[in-house]
Amino acid sequence: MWIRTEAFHAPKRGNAESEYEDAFFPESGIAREVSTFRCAVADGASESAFSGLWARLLVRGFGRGRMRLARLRKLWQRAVGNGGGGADTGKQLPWYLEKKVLNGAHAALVGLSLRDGNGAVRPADPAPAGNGTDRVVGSLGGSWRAVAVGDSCVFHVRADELVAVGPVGKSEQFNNSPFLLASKSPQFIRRSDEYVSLVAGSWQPGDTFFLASDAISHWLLAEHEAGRPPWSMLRALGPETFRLFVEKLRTAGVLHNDDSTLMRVEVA
Amino acid sequence: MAYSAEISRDNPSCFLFLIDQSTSMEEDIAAGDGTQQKATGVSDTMNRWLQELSIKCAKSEGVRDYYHVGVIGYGKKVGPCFDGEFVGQDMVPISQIADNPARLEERSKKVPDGAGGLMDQNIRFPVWFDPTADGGTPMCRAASEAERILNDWLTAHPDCYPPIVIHITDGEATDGDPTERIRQLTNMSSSDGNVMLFNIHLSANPNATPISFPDSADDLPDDYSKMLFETASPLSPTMRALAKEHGFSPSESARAFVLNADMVLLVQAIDIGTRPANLR
Repeated sequence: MWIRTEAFHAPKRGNAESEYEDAFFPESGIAREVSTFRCAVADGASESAFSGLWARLLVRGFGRGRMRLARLRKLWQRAVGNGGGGADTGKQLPWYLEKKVLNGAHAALVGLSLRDGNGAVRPADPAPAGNGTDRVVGSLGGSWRAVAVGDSCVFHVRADELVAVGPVGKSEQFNNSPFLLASKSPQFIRRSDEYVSLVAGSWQPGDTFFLASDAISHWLLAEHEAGRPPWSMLRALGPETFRLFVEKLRTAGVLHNDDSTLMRVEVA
Repeated sequence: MAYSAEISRDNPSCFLFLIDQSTSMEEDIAAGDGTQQKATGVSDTMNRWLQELSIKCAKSEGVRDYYHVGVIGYGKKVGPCFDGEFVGQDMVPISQIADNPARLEERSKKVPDGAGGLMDQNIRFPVWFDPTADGGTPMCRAASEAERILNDWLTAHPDCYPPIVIHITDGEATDGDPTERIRQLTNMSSSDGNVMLFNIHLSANPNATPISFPDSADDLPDDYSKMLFETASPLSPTMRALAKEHGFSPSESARAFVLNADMVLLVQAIDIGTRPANLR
């Protein structure tokens, strides 16, 4: 299958780029032939410290097929113990961060796995290693599966039709307290099932997937419900037009002022 | 809609505490299974609350100034009662408060060990205030000082989430009738709504039954407590929801007033009045 991805992001209005706490994988757009593909968007919680770091660890873990929470939590703790810089600086955290990191960081995650052909997608499928750039025409389609915790969403679109969406299905279901993946909760693994959402289906050549953090997801669902399908417009977006578009929606009061992330995945 | 303004570094809000520091604050009140000096209870509560607010506003790069905090003490003197770095400052950004406690005490705390158990960890505990109890109860002057500070704040931040004033007192004013001066505080407003006032009355009476968030003054024992009830703000829907989380059952006309507060109730009442909302 031929995959082309591009991700767009905009920090909260009033925040610096360095304060953006969503994350996405792959971090650069790709356009190549692959047999399997994994991508993810995560949304670090505003109320945590080092949640952007946690979101980055989660999307990389999912995207590279190394989604073991215990390992990711160790990586987070190691980085945070050093002040979040990743290097061993030996610098002591200020008292308020020392206390805050005891509570861990939190993030929503949505990860998408695509597979060529109609076989099942295995959870541990590795990231694509191919580096080809020649488009192969004639794929018959394949299967997809998305895993999500929290309110970042995946949208499966065919032409101008929304084929599937999850884990949130209606705009009215968004609230300020979704269940999130924690960097410090050993209980989560044992109790995770009720909080992990799975969405799956089949893709056809020409389909598009969108992964988005909560503010954009909320707006996309609201537009869809209002009979104004936004998909064609989203296919034409570029990085600069995305920021202008986000700013326009925020000013109009229809997009929550939050870190905003959208990943577009075209498959053929 | 009122009380919906976003609280951000560009549009911060503020908390203003009015703390009775008169001599009678040396008296004891109930605290857990024993008793505690009122002034000690208030300073412990303030230190704990400032710690929690600092942590709430902390991000990896430091504490964000979503709030400024003022603490006006009234007793022998009337005025701002932060020491050290902020002596004399009416309102202090929360980042400066977090970075400059009077001292850091080492305390041991049980924390998860990552394998389902607990382990001891030394935690630094910041202290800003020590107990103070000296002098009369110049509540009128304190209310006038609060009005001046809020007026300055609202002039500089006309669209902020409305300031919240927490007034903690144990006695009658010794410098006149403060009713109109206190009422004036809640007549002030930003474009997002009126200043909110919580009146918290500490009582040394061991037989007193705490009264929390009443909707009428009928059961209040004297004119003084009735005045504090009547000048307190109605609880907002958000505050009513928080009060329910703490096990209270406020009616829709409940007021931000607590009588005969022990330390547990004091902490709960301040939490209900100040839980950060709308942070961006």
